[in-house]
Amino acid sequence: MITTAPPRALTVRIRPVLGLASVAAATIATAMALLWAPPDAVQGEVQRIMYVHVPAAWTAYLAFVVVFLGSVGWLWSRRLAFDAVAVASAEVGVLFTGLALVAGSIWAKPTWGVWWTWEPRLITTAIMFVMYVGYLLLRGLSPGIEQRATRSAVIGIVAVLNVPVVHLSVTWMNALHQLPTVLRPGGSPALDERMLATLLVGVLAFTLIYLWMVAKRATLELARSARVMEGLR
Amino acid sequence: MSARRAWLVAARELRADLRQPDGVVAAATFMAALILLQSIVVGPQVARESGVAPALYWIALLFAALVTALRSFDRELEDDALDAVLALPGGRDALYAGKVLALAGTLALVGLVGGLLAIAFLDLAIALPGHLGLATALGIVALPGIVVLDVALTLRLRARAALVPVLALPVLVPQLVAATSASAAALAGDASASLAWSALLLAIALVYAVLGLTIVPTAIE
Amino acid sequence: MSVARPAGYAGGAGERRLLMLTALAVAIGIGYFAFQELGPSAVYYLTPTEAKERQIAPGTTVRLGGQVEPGLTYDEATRDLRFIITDGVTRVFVLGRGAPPALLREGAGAVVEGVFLNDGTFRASQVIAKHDEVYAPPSPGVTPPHRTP
Repeated sequence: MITTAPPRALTVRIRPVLGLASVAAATIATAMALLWAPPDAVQGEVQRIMYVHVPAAWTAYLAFVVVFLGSVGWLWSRRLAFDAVAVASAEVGVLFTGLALVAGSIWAKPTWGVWWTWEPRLITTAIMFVMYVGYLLLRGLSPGIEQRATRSAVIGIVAVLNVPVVHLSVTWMNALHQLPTVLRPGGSPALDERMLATLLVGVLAFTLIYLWMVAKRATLELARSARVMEGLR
Repeated sequence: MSARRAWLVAARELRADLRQPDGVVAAATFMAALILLQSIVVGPQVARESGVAPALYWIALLFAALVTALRSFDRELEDDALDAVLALPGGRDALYAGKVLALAGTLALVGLVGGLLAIAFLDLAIALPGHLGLATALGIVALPGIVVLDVALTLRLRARAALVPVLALPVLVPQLVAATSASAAALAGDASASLAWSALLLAIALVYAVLGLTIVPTAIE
Repeated sequence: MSVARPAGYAGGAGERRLLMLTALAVAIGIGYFAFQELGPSAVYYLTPTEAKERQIAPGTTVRLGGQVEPGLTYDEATRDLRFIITDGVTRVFVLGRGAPPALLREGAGAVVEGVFLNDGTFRASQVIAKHDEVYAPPSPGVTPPHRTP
């Protein structure tokens, strides 16, 4: 049997807590990023964009991995909850990828000297963005709840291959985007402790926002599906 | 799925195309038109550069593949034969693999026509024809898998003519880059680079072939 | 219509899985060796040494990447930018037009796009500053650069 009723715990208890935690974390992260973290010796104040750019990118990676898990979950169990989480995660993932691209572009102009260039990290990220926009387009044009879920699941599985490619692209070839500062093989993070702390709080804030948005959106999706299924009975 | 059944599907497609070649002719004409158009718009001088000509070629071939693939299931849909084929055990896989093989066959023909045309129009100097042939063959084998998967996925959707390119193009970027670079290296005479890029193209094609065959049982309805 | 789990194969399901895994292993192996062969030079820029080895013809647009040597000059009046880019082995003299990006400095990385002239100098149509992945606060008493807002 396919369960479509949203779990009660999610809607009643967790979401408000997530919401409050998100706001708190975001406030603290903003304060740390703007006031507490030191400026960079080379780039000056403009380096602070990192505290938006990097967490957005990482959370987008997380989101797309969750899309993959939700897709596999749907194909395996036929429970619409998995599909609801997948679409919610894809929407937030696309949003955060867009944010990372825009923030990155704003950061690039005063530092690199250009708004955009066709280098490995930027290219692969742009491709990833288009892939998941395609995922959402496919859903929008797909009638039938279960067929839509199956179609999206296929794309969700094929597209996730791109995520490690995006991250590793700068290590594989000559690129303009610098090598990973934190997530690097065999080395401790290459940044000042206060910067690292601010970055991690930023990541926490973005993750909480992600979880809150996904919870809200997934619940909405399940409620919609339930209504449609009711209408069909 | 048995390889034999896949071959049967592919053979059926090719036989039908021989009887009614308008589809293949249209694709080949489309390819020729694109090569012509691109060369004129970009400027023959620029188009002749060893890095540019392959890019134009592979983009044109990709669009020819999309145009052909979008029609490939029409026959089954018209005859309502699709459900019958799918009902056979291993039917989905055989159908998918057969269609992929058939599309590769069509692309081989279209690619040959387009390639000869490009070489003639642009007066291209080919340093390593064998390497170029290898790169082209591997690219032709690498493209159909994703395209057919996306067509199968969007089979009963009205908007699939717009959706299939949106879904297929991002996924095909690595294959396109590898094929273009392998071809460019072959034109310029860099044997080791050409072979390395061809090897990379083969690896990517294998990965997506496995992925396609794994996913296809669930994808086709 | 509920799609059933993948249709059962008449025997050979294990064989098929083995075949697919083998194909994947082969693919990864081939890919790995291909990457080793291609090296990091793949797509975005060439180092000066790579450009020399490939004998890039004058007039062909290419991107070079390397470090900026001491001796960077920019003339406000003529808008001439001159510096040397090096990878430690080969040095290329670069001529640019217009103000350099704020982060372009001696000892730091740069990527230039343009063409080689017949005498071996490089005329850049685009100059991009590259910075490394290390972030650190300014040393005490040193104010961070004012040019970056």
